[in-house]
Amino acid sequence: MKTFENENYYEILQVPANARADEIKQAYRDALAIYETESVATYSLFSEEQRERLLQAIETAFGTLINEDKRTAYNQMLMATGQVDAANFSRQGQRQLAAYSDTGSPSTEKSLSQWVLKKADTPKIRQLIEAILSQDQLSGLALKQLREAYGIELSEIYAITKISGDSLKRIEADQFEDLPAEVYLKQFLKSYADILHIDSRHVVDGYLKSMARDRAEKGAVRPRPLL
Amino acid sequence: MPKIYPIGGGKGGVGKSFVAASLGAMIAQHGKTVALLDLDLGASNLHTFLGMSAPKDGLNLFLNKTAQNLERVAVPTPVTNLFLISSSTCSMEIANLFYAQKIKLINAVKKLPFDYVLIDLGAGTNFNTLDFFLTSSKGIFVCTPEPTSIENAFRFIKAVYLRKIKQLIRQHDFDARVNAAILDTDSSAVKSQDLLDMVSKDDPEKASLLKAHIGRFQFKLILNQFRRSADTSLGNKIEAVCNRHFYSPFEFLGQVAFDERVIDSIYARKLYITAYPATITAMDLKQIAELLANPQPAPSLRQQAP
Ligand SMILES: Nc1ncnc2c1ncn2[C@@H]1O[C@H](COP(=O)(O)OP(=O)(O)O)[C@@H](O)[C@H]1O
Ligand SMILES: [Mg+2]
Repeated sequence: MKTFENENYYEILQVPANARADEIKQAYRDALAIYETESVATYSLFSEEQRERLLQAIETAFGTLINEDKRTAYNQMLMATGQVDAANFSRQGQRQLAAYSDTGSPSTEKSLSQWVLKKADTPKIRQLIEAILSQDQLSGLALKQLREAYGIELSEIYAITKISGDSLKRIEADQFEDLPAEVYLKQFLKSYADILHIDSRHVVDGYLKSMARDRAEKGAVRPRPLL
Repeated sequence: MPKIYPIGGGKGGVGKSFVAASLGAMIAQHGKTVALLDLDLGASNLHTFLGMSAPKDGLNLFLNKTAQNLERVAVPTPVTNLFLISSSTCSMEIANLFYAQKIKLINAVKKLPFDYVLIDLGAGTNFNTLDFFLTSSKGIFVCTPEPTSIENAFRFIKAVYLRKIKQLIRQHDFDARVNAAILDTDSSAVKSQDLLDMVSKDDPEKASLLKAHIGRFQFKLILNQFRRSADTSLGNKIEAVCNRHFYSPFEFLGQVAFDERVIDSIYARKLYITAYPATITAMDLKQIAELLANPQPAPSLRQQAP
């Protein structure tokens, strides 16, 4: 059985040498989805020890490639030892790749949701979720913080929901004036909440309440028409 | 020589016989002659899936030398171009076929005058089953998307692998240490990868010979009894991971939806795809039959990252 022994970090994660950070993240999640203990696809295929080593290799590869300094040093080593040609690191191929990954692979949603499920148990995420659930009103900032704590990019939300990055930014920034019509907004919030694995009804209600309050406040500032 | 597709998979009840009968019938409907060979010795039931009662004679006549040729014991089925070689009349002891009989049978299968031969195998990983699976350089393994079934399928693949490597080591002149390791082990003690590693260290040249040989063997996977809730990327994931970690190419042929009417068709004594030709399950089977009837070039060993 072949292991990752003779593979470099790019080969382990199955990304090109000029992959962008979000592609590396995605590849890392895909790899975890295949090699983690609960994965059905590799159930009983590896011994515990083998699996441990494969996962370790994936962690090391990701830890290096996602850190800019470490990645640069690693690339230099690959070039110096003649393992990878310098041209492979060029940004030439990147734009094509970006266009390609925009279509979203069918596995994107699945592996993202597995990732979220896994991280949902960490103390930091739990704290953020509890904070959101304990409040009656919800600001976009809280959603943004939660998304960032998961390590999810706006482009990834877009790949699954097709909600444009601009709309998402406005939702997160509480720019209530520029939001889409309420029917759409509700739909957007629901999909977004589902990805973050947080009660979508609470998110929708809380956000709409905070929006209503904002309107009421702004309305109050405006001079009232005299009767 | 016919195109031979043994159908195995380790676990019982996953649908090997159902898949064999359905694919056999569909390839026959493509205008090719097909023999279905029931080698689930001691538990044969392929005739039932075809809506037939158990044939009076079959493999027994070939094994007891009443029939000279294996094709003589093939009987027609309700589907044009589709023939069945049944083992339902073989005595129970047949499950422990003598070595000489096994070799004779395997050689006869390779000479059958049909376009296709599909071999329905039994559960488990006994030597007969593994050797029948190795009759051809292509084997189909069937499993369901459940962990227990996948576990058995991986066990089956590893057993096939190990059996093949052992055959090769016997045929070629190997180091005494490797020989000893093969002779005094059962399949659970030495894993195929250990054997390969052992050879790699001692004799890199022989190791590449082994790798080249097993690299020629193609595994094809079908996920049967697929329900809506199952992970639709599972087949592709298994294909990718097997291509990455084994030395042979793997191809995911497709999934076959679960349909309660499969049982209904058995009670009605009808071939499922004849009784229910327009179901999702029948469409799934049709796609796979087309892949087999019009084979594509072998999948590349591995898609290298650019
Ligand atoms: N796709 C399917 N949908 C529903 N039932 C199925 C399907 N495939 C197989 N079955 C049922 O599962 C049972 C076992 O199938 P069988 O072909 O005998 O398995 P095996 O040969 O692997 O032991 C049979 O009763 C069959 O009707
Ligand atoms: Mg069977």
